Amino acid sequence: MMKEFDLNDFGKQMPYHVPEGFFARFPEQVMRKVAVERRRRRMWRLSVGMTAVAALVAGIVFWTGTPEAIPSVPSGDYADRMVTLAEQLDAYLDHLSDEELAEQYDYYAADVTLTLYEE
Amino acid sequence: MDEEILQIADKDKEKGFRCLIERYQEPLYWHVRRMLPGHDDAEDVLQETFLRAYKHWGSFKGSSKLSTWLYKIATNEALRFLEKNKHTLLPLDDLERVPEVEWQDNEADAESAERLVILQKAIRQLPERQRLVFNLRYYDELDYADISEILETQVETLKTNFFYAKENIKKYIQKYYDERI
Repeated sequence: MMKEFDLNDFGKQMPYHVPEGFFARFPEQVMRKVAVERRRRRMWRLSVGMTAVAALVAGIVFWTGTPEAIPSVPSGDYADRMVTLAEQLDAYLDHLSDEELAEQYDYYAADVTLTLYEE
Repeated sequence: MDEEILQIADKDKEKGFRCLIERYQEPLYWHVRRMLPGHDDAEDVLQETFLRAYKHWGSFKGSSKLSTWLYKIATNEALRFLEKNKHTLLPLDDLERVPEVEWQDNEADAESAERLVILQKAIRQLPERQRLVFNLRYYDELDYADISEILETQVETLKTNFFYAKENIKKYIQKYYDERI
């Protein structure tokens, strides 16, 4: 039978080994992943933004019924509408979880009309 | 230290976040490692912890301590991992087969190493909640108010968990040494 149990007899050391240099490497490893994640979100925003612009233009075409109505450069009301839409998209994206973003990214990444605009 | 990190992050988010990782990587690593004895799994969970912290960095308003906020994310990530991988985790008795368990060369050190492993086995056999509370209180030396925030449990309940955790650990270890004689 062991003597009266005392946690202090065991101490707080962990019996596990950590690979050499792990803590020296780890911050850089995480920051690289952070950079990848930021690029991925930026590309997804760009893809969704271009889809929204395409939808807006298509809407204008069908609304006016004539190809001449497609503006070559957004201006006036059209530019204002696109800025507001971009802000709404940003707010929407901020609420999505990583899984939801990944799901939507995979869906849009397969669209060749969008990947033409990738950086 | 937390104030400094937040001030740096206000001016340069990436620099502040790197300071955050450097400050908290070790305590969080060991917190996660106590829940998942394999290094590779602990590394994955730790990485996910910091990635999630980065994603929600903007929503950290300072209403809690930075450490408490991070411990909460780390605990939830580890629990999520355990839930997802419960069929592939090492059985309790195979703790010695975890490759990273260190065994020392001389007799005195071997005895110390054995006691450390027995203590880990005793902790692993605790119910999940008792194990978490015991680790946070004993190893991480957090006060009950912080643990209450991390685990979203009342302080009195935590004190009870800790008491029973120690009792169960004591019984396990005493039984181990009794059976050895």
